[in-house]
Amino acid sequence: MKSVATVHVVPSRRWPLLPVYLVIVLAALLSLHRLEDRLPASLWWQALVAPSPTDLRQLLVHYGDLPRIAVAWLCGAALGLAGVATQQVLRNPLAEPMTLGIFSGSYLGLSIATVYAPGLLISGRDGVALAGGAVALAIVFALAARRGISPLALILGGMIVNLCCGALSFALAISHYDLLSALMIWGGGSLGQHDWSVALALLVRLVPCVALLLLCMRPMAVFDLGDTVASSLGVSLRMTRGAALFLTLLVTAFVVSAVGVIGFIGLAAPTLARLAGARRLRDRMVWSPLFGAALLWLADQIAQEFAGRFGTTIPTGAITTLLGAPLLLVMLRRLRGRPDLTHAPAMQSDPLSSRALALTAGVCVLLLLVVIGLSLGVGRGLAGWHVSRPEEIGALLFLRLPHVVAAMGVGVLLALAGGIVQRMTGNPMASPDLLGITAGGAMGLTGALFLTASPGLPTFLVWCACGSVITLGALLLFARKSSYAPDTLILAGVTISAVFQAVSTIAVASDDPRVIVLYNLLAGSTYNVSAGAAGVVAVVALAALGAVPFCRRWLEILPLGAAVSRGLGVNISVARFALLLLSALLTAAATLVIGPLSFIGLMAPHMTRMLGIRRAAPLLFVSAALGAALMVASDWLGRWVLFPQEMPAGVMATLLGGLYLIVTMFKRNPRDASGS
Amino acid sequence: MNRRAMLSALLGAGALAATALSDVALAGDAPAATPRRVVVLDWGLTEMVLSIGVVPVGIANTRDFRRNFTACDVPASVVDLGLMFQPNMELLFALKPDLIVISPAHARLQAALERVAPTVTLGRYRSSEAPYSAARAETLQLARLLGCEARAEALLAQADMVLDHARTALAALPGASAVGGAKGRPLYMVNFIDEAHVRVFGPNSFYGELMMTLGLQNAVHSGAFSTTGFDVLGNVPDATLLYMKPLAPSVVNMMKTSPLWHAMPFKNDGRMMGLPRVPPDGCVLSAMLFARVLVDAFEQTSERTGSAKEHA
Repeated sequence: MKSVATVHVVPSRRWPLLPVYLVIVLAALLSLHRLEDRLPASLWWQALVAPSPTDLRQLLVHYGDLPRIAVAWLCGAALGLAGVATQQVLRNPLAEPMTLGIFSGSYLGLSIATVYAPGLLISGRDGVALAGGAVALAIVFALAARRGISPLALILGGMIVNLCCGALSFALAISHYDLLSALMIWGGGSLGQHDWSVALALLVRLVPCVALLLLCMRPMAVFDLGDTVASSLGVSLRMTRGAALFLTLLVTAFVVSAVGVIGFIGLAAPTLARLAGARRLRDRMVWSPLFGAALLWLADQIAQEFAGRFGTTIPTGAITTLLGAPLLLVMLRRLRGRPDLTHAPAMQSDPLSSRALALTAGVCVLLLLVVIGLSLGVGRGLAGWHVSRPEEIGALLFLRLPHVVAAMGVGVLLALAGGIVQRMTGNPMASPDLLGITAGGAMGLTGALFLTASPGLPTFLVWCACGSVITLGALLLFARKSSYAPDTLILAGVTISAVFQAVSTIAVASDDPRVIVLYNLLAGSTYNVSAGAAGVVAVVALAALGAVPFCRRWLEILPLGAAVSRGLGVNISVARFALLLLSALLTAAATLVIGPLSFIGLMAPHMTRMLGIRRAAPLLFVSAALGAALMVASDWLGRWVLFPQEMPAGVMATLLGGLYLIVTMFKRNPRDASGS
Repeated sequence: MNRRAMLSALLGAGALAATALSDVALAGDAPAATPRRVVVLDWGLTEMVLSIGVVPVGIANTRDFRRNFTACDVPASVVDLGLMFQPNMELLFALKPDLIVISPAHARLQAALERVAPTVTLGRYRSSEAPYSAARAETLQLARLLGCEARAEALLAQADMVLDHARTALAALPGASAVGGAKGRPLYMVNFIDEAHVRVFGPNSFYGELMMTLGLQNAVHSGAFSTTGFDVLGNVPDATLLYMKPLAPSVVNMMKTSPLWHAMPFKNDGRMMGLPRVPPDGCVLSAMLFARVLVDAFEQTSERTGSAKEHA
């Protein structure tokens, strides 16, 4: 990574493709080394053109190693090109199939098909992967359209869809583990081949897509000029954008159905091409596929080398993600024309009068009480739904009360953390998940599960706390240079989440029996909350509510922008640092109790804003009430919807949140369209 | 044919004995302190409990258990408690168990479960170097807890007999050395994960230990299992391949079309056999089933090769 950066600083016109050569030479050396292990050099040519049918070694090279390299080239090149195309037409240096949600959509589609309609997969995975990816991409766009498809809005939309698809995949994996374990191993990106059919099928499918994309190159180049100029030149931006994205979607779906999820090649290849000096679109469209092919080839060779040396399979997709995640950080320092996050979003509804505010707050509290009543008094048994009699409630209180108290506490914590993060970053789509704290906690949980012998609850707590604290420390260190600027924070969070994703991919693909426990841990569940833990969460939540009035002023002023804030006498670094620390601690406390993956932090403040509440203090208090109500409701639904299977509250909350976002999206799109 | 009939008869007798004994147990002739209402949250341990004639009141994920643990007969009275690692607590509470059997992977739940009923952690046999022997030891341990030692002793004696007969049957097969057998070829025991990956079971796996007990030679020399591409199956050229059925459609397709698969030595010489599903982490009942499906598969193959020779 470092060497590439230097190349950028001193653009070497004579050797513009030097980094590609380096990657290719490295990959080729590893491949040759592998080939040497298999076969004496004198037989290589024979193995390539006409392998002897009686020599298994030659056949392995001819039908195993060579098509594997070909598939790596094809997929890498395709993803590289897809990356350039999306980044060009969206004018967003971070857009790629992974960040746009296509991968997770395809994977979810395949999971659903494996469990409920295996018949769909007999003829191949293409159709299902395509459908899943298309739905995910459409939702990402609909979400981002509300913010004028700005670069960061797209990434956040993609992240939301990734989280939602992830939650659904989790739910399926938990309840149908024995059916999906194959998909989990394959899904990490497995390039193993046993004949030339996949390579040929990919070639046949990709060539027309690539040809069409190259045909689009001229209209696509116009995007460099900006929307206004481009439209005045008579180019239909919408048509070009649509066509390019559709082709990208096709390419990605073909790659997913052939080799599984390969993250970050689409991001890394165009970035490297640009850093190596490819400025014009034509250059980038030639070089990025080259970089992509070389990178994936190298990653796959590393994966095979590792497997050969240590005997454990590491999915190629995890390696590309691990290589790509640091690149995101490099990117973020070079991102020219950073999206303006402090730009206040258009408010859809009018502010409330104080009487209406009191009424709204009252309704929210009432809602919370109703949900608590339901949760304590209504359940399901072998005889069906029933309302418990008072003495039954008393008898079951020791089971139900900790759930309710913990759910409330966590709801409050996440809603407050979310509200603070959204206020601080001025981004209504930010959530505490995006800071990466939850991902850090999740990494801690994964470590506890795989690195200690039959860990109990205390072990998990300690590891999770360590993960969260280390992540927080890294985040603070990293963001200090930019005075904790919002976009730096969020991109760092995305990076941490990506690293965690790679780690969990490796864990899941290890085919270890403990993977199912990991899935249960990562789904965000109130299941294991003890009475003591519930009490602690409640106390922390109350303390957090008490802290709200103290940061009211900062939260009112910071969204007005850095200049205004400084003018009003706010020390921005201090304010941001304090707020970041507070929200990170709240998130960490919540993660410790129910694990990662919760949408509450995003949803509760969002809903409150939709109700028309603007001012910081009421916003935080009402969203705390809503967050608590949502969390208790998710917990209750999770316990009874699929009776006797208990779905984790985190999964239910994410699904509720996803539904809510999609509903509001359809409700509000027309107004946005007329406004823009 | 005789041997197979005898094995089936032995197994049948065992099952009958199990039912009879469980009836006795239910009639309440054991001392009052012995747990009667047992909940099991782990599949392998569910088999263990069922194998010593105790019918649990509740187990995790009944539907999938029935699909995976074909050697066990789960009565309709057994309540489905939901997910293995998140059983429905209220349902569990309503069942009023007096013992909950869990595996080490449930350590996280133990404190919560203890509030409902005493728990016992078994199931370490899985990570043992000799899973089948360890499962036998744990079966005895569980039987002492549940007051049915006699039944467990009988079960283990029966298992010894079944495995003994299977061993003799395998050794005596005329074609044994051609397809694999006591003094014959090494065997790969695998599970297909997808069209490119297999799980290969080594000598320290449940299958592996049983194969050794049955006098069969494993082509893998160490470890419990590893997940790799199927190309490693070419490493031992004279090996026979045993795989668990059913195969996914994509795997069936691969076996038809892949030139690499067709070049595999066992494929060329027709040395591959599909076995009906036996769980890779089973206990004594599954062990007996495994012995039977192995003998069946070898007998069918040797009959086929025998008749082929006659035709030739």
